[in-house]
Amino acid sequence: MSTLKTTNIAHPSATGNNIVLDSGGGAAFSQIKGGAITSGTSVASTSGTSIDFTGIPSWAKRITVMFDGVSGSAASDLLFQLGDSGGIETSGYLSAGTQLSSGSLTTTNYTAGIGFPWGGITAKTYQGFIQFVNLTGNTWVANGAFGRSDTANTLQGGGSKTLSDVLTQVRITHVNGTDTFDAGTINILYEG
Amino acid sequence: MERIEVNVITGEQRTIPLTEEEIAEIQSRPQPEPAPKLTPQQKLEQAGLTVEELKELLGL
Repeated sequence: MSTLKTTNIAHPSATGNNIVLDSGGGAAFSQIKGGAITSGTSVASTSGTSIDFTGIPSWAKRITVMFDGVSGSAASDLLFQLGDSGGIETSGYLSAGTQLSSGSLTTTNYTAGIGFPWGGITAKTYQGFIQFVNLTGNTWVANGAFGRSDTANTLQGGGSKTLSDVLTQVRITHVNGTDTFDAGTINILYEG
Repeated sequence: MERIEVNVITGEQRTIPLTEEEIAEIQSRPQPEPAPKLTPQQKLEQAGLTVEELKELLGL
């Protein structure tokens, strides 16, 4: 048995090293595909009518979008949309979302995305996450739950969407498309 | 109107004004169906109460 001694391993077409070995026995991978969870870059959801996470690798099979203290302007419901190389797809979703609070329940169907009925509430503060899981091909199913911390209230919902191509992006927006986000932090995890 | 775009590989974040096409798509977007108006009986059922239990609660 012999030992190959080197420090860098790179694919001939790669612009950088795929793996860098250090003298302490460690190995730095430029990107681990499958079997690892990769975190995106968190973004302050304090402005914008939508927040898009783009460049999601084609090998991703589960995507988690996380909310911490997120709020939006009052008029419209929260909406998650998926996209591919052709852009964000804005129709053909099968979805329902529910808002639960003491003595009150609101449930709504959505076709423009995976929706949650948080419209009509100002200065809300929601924590939680939604996961999109690849069922087969370009079909994704979703399940999410968010808890409101400034008062006792929860959002639950789920749905599915078959994209026309491989998923590359996720959009967080509102049903009316014009409401803006005004508080909190959003980030994404993806895994293969 | 503008959107925030974050590339998950590079971490690059950009603020991009919406295009005319995107604004047109937003304006044509279907709105969710309004929640159905519930009858008093349905409201009771959602709360998990029977008429008899409600009467008992109210002392009727």
